[in-house]
Amino acid sequence: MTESSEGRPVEILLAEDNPGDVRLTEKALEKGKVLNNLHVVNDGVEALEFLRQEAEYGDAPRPDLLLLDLNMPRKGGQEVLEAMKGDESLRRIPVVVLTSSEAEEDIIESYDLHANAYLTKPVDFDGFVDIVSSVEDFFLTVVKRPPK
Amino acid sequence: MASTEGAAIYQVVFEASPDPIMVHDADTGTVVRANQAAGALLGCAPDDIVGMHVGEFSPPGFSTADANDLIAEAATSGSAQVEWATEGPDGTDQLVEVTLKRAALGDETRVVAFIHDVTSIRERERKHAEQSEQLDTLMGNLPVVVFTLDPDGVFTYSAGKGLEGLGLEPGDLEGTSVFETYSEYPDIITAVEEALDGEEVRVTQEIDDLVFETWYRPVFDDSGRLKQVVSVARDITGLKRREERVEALSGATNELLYSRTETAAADKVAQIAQRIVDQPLAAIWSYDSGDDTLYPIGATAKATDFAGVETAADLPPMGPDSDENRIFHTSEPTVIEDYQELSNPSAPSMPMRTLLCLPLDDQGMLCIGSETVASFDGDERFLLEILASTAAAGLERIERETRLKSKQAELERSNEALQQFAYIASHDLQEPLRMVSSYVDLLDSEYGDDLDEEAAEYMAFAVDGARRMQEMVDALLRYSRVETNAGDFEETDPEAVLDRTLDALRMRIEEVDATIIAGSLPRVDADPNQVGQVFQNLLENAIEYATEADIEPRIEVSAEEDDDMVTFTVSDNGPGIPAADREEVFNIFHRAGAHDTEGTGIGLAVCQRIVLRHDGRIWVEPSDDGATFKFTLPAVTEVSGDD
Repeated sequence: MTESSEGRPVEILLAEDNPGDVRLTEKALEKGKVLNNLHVVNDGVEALEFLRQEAEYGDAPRPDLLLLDLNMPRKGGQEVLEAMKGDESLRRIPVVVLTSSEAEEDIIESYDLHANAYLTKPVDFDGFVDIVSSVEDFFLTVVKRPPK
Repeated sequence: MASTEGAAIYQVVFEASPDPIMVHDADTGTVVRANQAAGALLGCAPDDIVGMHVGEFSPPGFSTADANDLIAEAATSGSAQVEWATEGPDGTDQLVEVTLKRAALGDETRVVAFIHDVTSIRERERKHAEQSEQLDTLMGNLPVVVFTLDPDGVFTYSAGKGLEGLGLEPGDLEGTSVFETYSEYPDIITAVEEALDGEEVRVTQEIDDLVFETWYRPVFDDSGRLKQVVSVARDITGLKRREERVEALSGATNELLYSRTETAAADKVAQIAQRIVDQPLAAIWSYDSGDDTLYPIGATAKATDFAGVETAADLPPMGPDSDENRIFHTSEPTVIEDYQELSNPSAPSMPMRTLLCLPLDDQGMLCIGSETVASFDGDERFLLEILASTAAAGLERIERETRLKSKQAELERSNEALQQFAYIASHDLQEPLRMVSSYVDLLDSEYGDDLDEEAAEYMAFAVDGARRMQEMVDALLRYSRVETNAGDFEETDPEAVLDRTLDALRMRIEEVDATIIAGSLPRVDADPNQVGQVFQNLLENAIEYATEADIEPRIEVSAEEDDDMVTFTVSDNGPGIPAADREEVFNIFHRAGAHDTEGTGIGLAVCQRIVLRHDGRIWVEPSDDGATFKFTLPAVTEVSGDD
């Protein structure tokens, strides 16, 4: 494994309510080449608490990348996007929407809310690994991320 | 001398007069002189008459005393007159006028009788009187108004039975000026002015409730000056009324044609019935076979007022035992002379008398009532029966349309539900399916090496099952998207669409060396993306089935425009479709022929859905070699636009 461009493990926040997908993401990241710390929250409310270091997430690090599912209980991914873009301190965190929805309106709305990428979860595990590693490659090594 | 000459002349006049003259002694009444004509009258010599008394030759019934009285009257007053019906010398009836004049002769008084034959004059007078009476009778009985006007517009004559309608007696108008009597009727004044100007005028004029067709004819004297205006006015109120009724009825047919609901139609029918018969109590009932009862659906305002209810729906229904219901079942128009005499009326408290019931086939009944015992004439009955049959047809059409509409709404609902189901199923099935296939993969990649051959086989089945299910879910999604992701219809060039489709299939076409021949394809009004999908599915199918049968695919695409549709034909040289499968191929998930062909069998179902969305149809044409698909799409209708 290599370190990120900053020379430290990258902090990735995964907002996902399906434990199966959480596990798949963990597995895919394990196979990736970037050293990372994966943090998992299960809904939009927790995601925003994590991002704002509120409640139990007082010591949470600021994530370098947010992998965001759209269909989550309590607060959906689009609401999280909306809140982040309206928040001076959060709007520069790159967000990749990772969802099973292929609905056109979901895609359009996500980009309207300034998502950095919209990806559909592939059906098979290999495809999933490919996607996650592409994201890693692009957002964690290729792209110049905003300074923290 | 002079007197002698005078006497001679008198003598000549006396003798030569064609009228008999006799001179009587005023005291005795005896004839003292008679002329030739008198002799001829009595059939003897004039001298024979001398000495006779008037009474001797006066007609029967005229006595000597009468004669003496008459002579005495003449002698006293100077003259007297009498008319005798007597017998002439040739034995024919004769009327003579006897004029007596007194003549003084010294101290003696003479009475001279001049006898004049007035038979023909009296006959003419009698005839004239008779004719005049006949003419008066005729005029008085003509169903018109006849009148004459002098050049100042003053009535000089007025007669005719038509006057009764105006509340006038013959002669009432005479002496009045039309400009005063009818000053409130500008139509009449204008017409009279024109006629007095010498024009012949024929006009339709209304006087209160009556309508007249009036003809004014100027009559001129020999010098060409207007003498009078002769006029005949015909009362055409009944005729007009009939015209209006027929118009109302033909209007009804139109209005009924456009009525959307039963109540709207019913109200309209009630209004028209009222216009036809002038009976404001009209209402219409609809028959419910469920409980054998007629329920009110429309009525005139007068009818609901009369019944003391708010709306037509509040009128009493006609139950199975009511007399009205019984009439409905006879299907015969029936007049109830007196509603109060019915034993089982549906509305016993209604103070109605005559009621005309017109059954409307099996739809219901139109009833027209009257507060008094009324009658409906043949004309009214005839028009009402036409109205009833129009109403029946109208109500039946509305019933059919309503049924159709609810059926259509039901279909739309179920179609929508199906749509929803397909979309949700495909969407929500994705998630768990992804879990299955991903973890089977993961299991394989992490523990594959530890599995024995049998376990590996089980794994392969699980992977394959998940994959096929995934394909079906995808297919279902595609199927549901025909409606959810549908685009607008636009003028579409199928040749361009086909070119794009061939581009998309290029690799596959080159791989199997397929030949595709396209004819000219007329433009259609369609969603171009979906037309492309239809082409793609049909071409893919043709290529796959031919290739599978080891045939080098050769596909022809052509089209033909007729009326407002374009019929497309896609035929191939593949194995073809068995006759038994020709309809089922369009069913969702149906697979034609061998089952190892790639794909899910959703392609043709999607094609059918797309074509149906365009109000077209798709079918398999029977053919001996290869498969021939045909489908129709709406042609581009010519619109005259800007040049």
